Amino acid sequence: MTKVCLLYDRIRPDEKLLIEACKRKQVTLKLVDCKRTVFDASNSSKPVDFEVGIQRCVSYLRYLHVNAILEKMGVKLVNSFEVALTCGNKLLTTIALEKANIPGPKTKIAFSVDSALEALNELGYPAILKPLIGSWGRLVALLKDPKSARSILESWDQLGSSWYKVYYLQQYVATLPRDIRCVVVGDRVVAAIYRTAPPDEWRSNLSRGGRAEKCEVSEEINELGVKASEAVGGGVLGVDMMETEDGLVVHEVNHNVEFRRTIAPTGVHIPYLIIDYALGLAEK
Amino acid sequence: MNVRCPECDAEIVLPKGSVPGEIISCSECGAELEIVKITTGGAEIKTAEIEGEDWGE
Repeated sequence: MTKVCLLYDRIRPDEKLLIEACKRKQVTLKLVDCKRTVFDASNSSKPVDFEVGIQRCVSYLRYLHVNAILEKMGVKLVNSFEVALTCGNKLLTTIALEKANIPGPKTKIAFSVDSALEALNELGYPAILKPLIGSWGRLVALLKDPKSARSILESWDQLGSSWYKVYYLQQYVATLPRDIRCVVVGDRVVAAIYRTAPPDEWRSNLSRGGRAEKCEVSEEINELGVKASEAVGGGVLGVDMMETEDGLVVHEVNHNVEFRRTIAPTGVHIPYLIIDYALGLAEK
Repeated sequence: MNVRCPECDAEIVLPKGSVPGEIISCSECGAELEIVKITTGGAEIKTAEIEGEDWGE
């Protein structure tokens, strides 16, 4: 019997669904709380008590470092270190998508407030400022004009963390107050939802009160979702798209996709598909 | 299984099927708490970590 290891630092409803799916599929599951585990970076022996790992740490740093050690030991992971490294950093994602000729919003990077304002003049207003790392719309700001942009950029400069001294600036291209979240498992988009922003919010993240509705997986969505997934290395991913006047564009790819709110609108039981994908990886 | 809130000492009943790493809320003080350990003898909980800047999906 293949043994799967669930690596986590917080059990969200998504992880409970994965645990439940393993029980129903009679897959032996080992639970590892990465916060409370010591990982031996000097050890190169493959663990004997599991064959494949599903990495679900919400902390990007935990995810990456645990994966680096486990991959050195020869463990196969959903998703790999390289995939997470790319997806967890918005600039690296942009570069990977650009290399694969996947349409995306124009993006500029600046390292000071003045340079960021210069970049914004080139991009035009409104524009979006995003932290390089992080999710759920945290600190993502809509910059409507140079004055408000300066205030927001200067506030970021006071935040302390070096991450917030890198200004990732993106053209605002959405034509509708919604985006499309595609869940990619391996070589296909298994489910997609529209995420619509609530009335008093421009961000459509579900954690910000966004509404989830089924989105039919068209040939175009499937093709673009799979292409974006392959561009970052493939696996189980959340590819976010926006509808623009020039067609669909990809703006983010998530390595630790939250899927629970995609299940009800689409009827696709994603945890089963993730477990099957992991089991398939173990057999390769 | 019952535990005590480390913030306000209120009694909390752990939901059936709880697993270590899961977050629960204290109905008395609203604190977010993490289940650290569950054994046959009882459970251990602590105040949950605050969302970090590197947290995400």
